[in-house]
Amino acid sequence: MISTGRLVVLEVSLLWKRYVRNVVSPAARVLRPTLWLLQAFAVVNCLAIGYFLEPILRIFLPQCDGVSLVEAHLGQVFLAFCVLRLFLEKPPSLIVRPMLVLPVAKTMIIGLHGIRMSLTAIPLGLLLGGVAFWYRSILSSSTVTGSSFWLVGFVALHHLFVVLGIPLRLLASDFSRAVAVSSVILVLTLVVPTMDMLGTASQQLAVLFFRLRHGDAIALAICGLALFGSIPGVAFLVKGSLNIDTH
Amino acid sequence: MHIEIAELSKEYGGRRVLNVDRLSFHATEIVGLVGNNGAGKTTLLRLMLDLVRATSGEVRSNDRVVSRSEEWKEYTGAYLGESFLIDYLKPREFFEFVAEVRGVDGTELARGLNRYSGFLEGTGLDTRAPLIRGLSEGNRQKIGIIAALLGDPRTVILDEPFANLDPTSQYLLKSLLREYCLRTRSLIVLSSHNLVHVADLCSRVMLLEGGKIIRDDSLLGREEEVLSSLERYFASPLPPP
Repeated sequence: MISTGRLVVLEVSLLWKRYVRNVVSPAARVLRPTLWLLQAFAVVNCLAIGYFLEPILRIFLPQCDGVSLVEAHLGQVFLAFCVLRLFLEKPPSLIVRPMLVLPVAKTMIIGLHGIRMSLTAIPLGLLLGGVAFWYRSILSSSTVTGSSFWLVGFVALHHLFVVLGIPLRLLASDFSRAVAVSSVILVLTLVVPTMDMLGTASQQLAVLFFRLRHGDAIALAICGLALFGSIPGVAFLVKGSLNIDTH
Repeated sequence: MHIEIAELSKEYGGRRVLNVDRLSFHATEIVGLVGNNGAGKTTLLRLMLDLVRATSGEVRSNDRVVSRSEEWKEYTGAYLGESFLIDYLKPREFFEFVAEVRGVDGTELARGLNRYSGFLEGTGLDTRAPLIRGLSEGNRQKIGIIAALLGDPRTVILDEPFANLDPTSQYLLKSLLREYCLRTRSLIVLSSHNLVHVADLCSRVMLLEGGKIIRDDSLLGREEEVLSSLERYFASPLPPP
């Protein structure tokens, strides 16, 4: 059997090739640029609001709640980001399948899959964490513990979303349907004001995540739920990794 | 090198799709599994590779139960379809990956690829070659088959190896597998819908129907007879049990 170290090196090399060669479905070829635009949009907006708009609003329109504005905005961006990511993930069994007929131990296949999933989660965590940290008026007083809750919560939620994405991907496996679904999501999250249901939900999500920095009970509950929610997801991934039964 | 199967069954949703009482495969055999769609050929191959869990029974490879051991993977090569390829690699990169995992060094890999260069014609082995996903189905099939043979595993399992191949490649594959079996004294188990190729290549043929092996014939010196018999069977198959 190949050594763990050597396999990890091979795996990293595969991940890199997969990344640079943009291994995505035809639908995701459209969605991926949208995702990057969304990220850029989020960063620019949060910087603009954090550094310019909110201080200006505080001076000229003190009655306007700039913090709530950003909370809602971050929530929308986060939701859109996660939903769009659903289409970019391959079902886990497809990724691990070539390994199943090679002399690689099952435990290593599972372990590598965990690493692979974590690696894909890191950019998401960094982006959202980075955006949050940049927004000085919200997080300037955050503690390391509070910030950790943010990142852990995002990574755990990411896993959850990826798992949820598998059946959703099947629903939107057709190119045109995927584009239609993503367009609707984009419109709902970015154009429709927060009074609609999705906006309200995302706003609530943002508020809850905002509370994470304080490490209060709700923040802990959300982190716990996210982690708990990812357990069946991880179990599903493991099952998917080992059982490619498609009869 | 031998594989033993005992009391093996597989059910999906309460429906039994495979039921094999006792079966054994031995080194130097080329075994062909034939049968209509849904007969259980691929399920049997998957169970032999521990890709699905048996409802009951077990498969032993060199006396090791495949579902409880992993040593057998070191001397087993398999190709069951293009989902077992890494399609974002170039053909050579994929071969290098497989060679690395199998512990095949660069010289041996080059020798192996050179040996199969005729069969790999058209797949592109240089650095400017397209990614595997950009190749035709036939060329992807060739890459998967050759990857399964890298490192000269003593057991080779192939699902529908002739599918998608052009006629020339089909004939090349037959001589390649025949030569491989003689050179390495290995066991090759393959499934196919092509009775002529099976009769021409295999030393033993098994006919599956409704998840059961209903015939197990040696082909040595009886190719014409067995082929005629199989053709008669498929021309007017028995009702499923």
